[in-house]
Amino acid sequence: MSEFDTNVTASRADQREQPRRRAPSPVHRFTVGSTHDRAEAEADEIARLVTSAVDARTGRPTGPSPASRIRRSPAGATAVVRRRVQKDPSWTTGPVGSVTGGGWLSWSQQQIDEKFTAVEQAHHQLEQRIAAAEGQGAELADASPGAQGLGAAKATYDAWNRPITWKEGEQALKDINVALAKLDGVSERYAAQQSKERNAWADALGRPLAGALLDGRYTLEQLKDLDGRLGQGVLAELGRGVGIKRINDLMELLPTEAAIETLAPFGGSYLLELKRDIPNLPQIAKGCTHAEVEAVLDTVSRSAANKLGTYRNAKRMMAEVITPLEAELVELVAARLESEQIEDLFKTLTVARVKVMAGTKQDNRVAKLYEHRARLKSLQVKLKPADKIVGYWNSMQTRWLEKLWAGKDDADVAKVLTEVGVDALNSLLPTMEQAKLYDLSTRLSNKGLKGFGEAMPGKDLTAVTAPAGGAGPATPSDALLKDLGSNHGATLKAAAKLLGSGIDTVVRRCAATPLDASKTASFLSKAVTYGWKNSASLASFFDKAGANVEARVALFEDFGNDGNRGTSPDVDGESGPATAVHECVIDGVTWKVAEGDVNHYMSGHVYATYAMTLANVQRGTSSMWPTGTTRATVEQDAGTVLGSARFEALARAAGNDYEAGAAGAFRAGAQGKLHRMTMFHPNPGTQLSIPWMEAVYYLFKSRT
Amino acid sequence: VITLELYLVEDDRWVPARSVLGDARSRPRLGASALSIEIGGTEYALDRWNLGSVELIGAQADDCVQRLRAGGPAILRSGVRDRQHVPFFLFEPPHTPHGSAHVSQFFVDDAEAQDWSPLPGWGSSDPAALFEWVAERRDDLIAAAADEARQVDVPELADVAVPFGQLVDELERLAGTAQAVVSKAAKLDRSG
Repeated sequence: MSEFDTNVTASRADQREQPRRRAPSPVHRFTVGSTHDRAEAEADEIARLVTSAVDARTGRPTGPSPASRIRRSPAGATAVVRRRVQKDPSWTTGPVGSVTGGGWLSWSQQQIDEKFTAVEQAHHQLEQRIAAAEGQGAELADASPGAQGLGAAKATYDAWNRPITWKEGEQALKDINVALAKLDGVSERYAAQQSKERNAWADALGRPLAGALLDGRYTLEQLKDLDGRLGQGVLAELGRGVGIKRINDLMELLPTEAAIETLAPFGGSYLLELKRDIPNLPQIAKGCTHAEVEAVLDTVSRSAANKLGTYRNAKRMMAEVITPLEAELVELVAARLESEQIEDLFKTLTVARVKVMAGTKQDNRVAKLYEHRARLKSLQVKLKPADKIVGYWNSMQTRWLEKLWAGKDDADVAKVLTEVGVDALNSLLPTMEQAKLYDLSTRLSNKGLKGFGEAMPGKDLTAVTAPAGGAGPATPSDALLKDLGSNHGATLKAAAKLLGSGIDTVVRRCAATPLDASKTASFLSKAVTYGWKNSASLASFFDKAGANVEARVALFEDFGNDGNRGTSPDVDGESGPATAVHECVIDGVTWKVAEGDVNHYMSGHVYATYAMTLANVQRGTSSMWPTGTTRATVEQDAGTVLGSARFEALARAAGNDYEAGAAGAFRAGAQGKLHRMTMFHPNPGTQLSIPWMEAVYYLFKSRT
Repeated sequence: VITLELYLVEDDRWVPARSVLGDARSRPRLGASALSIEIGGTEYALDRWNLGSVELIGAQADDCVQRLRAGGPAILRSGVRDRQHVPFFLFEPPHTPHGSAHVSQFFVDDAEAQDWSPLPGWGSSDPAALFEWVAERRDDLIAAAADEARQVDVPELADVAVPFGQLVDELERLAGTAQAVVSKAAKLDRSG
């Protein structure tokens, strides 16, 4: 395509901000003024050339409207006609008219652009230097070498201030460079300025630009100015000469924000140069777009991992590299890390941090890392020696273990345990906290257990007893299995269909309780009836129920028989609709039982509507209305208490605060800020402690 | 080393309040909170107690800071008021100039005292009544709670020594976090 030629060039030139020339000195005027007519004639000629340009591909005339190619200042005697060196129509892509080794060489659009850009920039630089020198004009005598040099430079500028051919490009560049040289020594001040700019180029070629920045020879403003004057890509070009060490120096010596701001003009090219400088990634990331960082990471891949691997101090790596990154960037990095690097990360984690990781949203960064499960598995295998495993294991909470095993089948677990090694497991078993080991064992199916057992010569899981208050798994006796098989085959079959491999876990847990075959079958039958299909939740149920499996199942049925399906919402106190269900006036103030208050009572103290959430269960011991109690009954009781002398006393005591206390067969709370009875429940009612309710909760949860 | 971390409920899971604060889309639920008390790598409270009102926990933490700095003991009661047998946490300043502070947990089964609050306006009676009542029974209350902890196989939070300065700092941080959560919820409420 040929749109890149004159039309595009002109357009690009128009888009670029042009520095204004200084006002002309009396001696060396460079404004058009009297030459206006000539300039206009040149402009017209350029316009003619442009409009006559033909697209080499389409054969059609090219170019936008002339107004976009030639920009004139507003009419006026001193108006400057902005003219720039222009490509003539010969600057088109295509075969070069020479042959090398029998093959045609083609010059690409990029080559054309580069060449023309070099000429254009040199011409532009010459223009700037002339303008700068004219600023010194008053100090120059007409016959001085400086003035002569300035005149020659201007002549050269004018000579090439026209469309040039492809062939003329080399000559133009040469002439302009000579003219630039002639401007040397125009004045001391100019020479100093020129020298400074030359030094800038010298920096680019020789000394690292970062060094110049560090030395304070360029302020940020100067750097930006330089960037603007040199055109896009030039600073990035300079940046390639800087070198990593200097970047590190820069990063260390400058505050992060300042470093980023300083580096910003270098753009994406600079980032590519930094591609092996992963430790600086957080800082880099702050100054770049996500796409740019991703591009860098795509480029580095294994190099990044290797670089991270050079961090001997993994804690430092975590602190310096990973922690400062945004979560999505961590994901990008993690995807490119080898398992060794992830392992290093995890070695840095304190017990507290492991706990922090336990919830997926507790630390998004680490959670992102955990999404790379395959590598996590590798990590598990590599967590040696055994004491390290034990340390991790004992620091983990149940929910963390759940997360650890989530998504892994038992065969995986067994394999990991086997790969950890017999010695490690032998060390692990006696030192692992009983509850943790127990938790692990409940998550293994027959196959997993077998793998686990085989990895531990001389030990088997029958040695694993229940933690206090819980019923650990046990190997069912032959008699129990025979009884179950002979007398409860259909139940076993139905339960196995529901629970899958989890049937093994459940039977083992039942075997560790006082349940005989008949009661075990009854439990399994209820599992089928009520849909207790999640064996992990059932394991948690056994933990909480201990030896009281039957009693907790009965409690579950109390809730279920009252219509509780485990879906009632958890309603906080002092929330919900304020619509009055009952009202009374105390000392001229209307107090009420609001609809939201009744919702709250119902979610915490009524079987049918008790909210089966951990948050609700863990509030404390629940005082329950009798089974069968309905909302109408609760509302009636609440109305009675609201109108009682006892509540009147509580309301007066509360004032604008809160007061609670017994009120006959109930306890009530008066919230003076809202004038509502925000607490109300039987006293004592049926007391259900947290462990009891947790057991029931897990039975409800096992249905999902 | 002691760390106090406020947790909130999200999707029936406990998550650190700071993660909720850091997530613009997350709307804090102010009626449920949990406290992670980690001392020397041992976790004592999290996952076992919903301490209820975030606002009340924050206000009590702030009160604890003032009381400890004044040289007296401090109590933080569960913010749940409609349940029995809720936890109280006792923070005691060092007995000697360079000694450790101590953290304990206890329960109040007394029908009247269980409603008492260390903050005025949050329950029955004057806060001083609660402190006096606890002072008279301190050892028994802590021992009973420790017994209960042993029965359910959880660490006993009984007279656990901690650096005084850290304790105060952590309580102050806890108060600040709770306040931030309340503020965020209020801001979200205002914006609909």
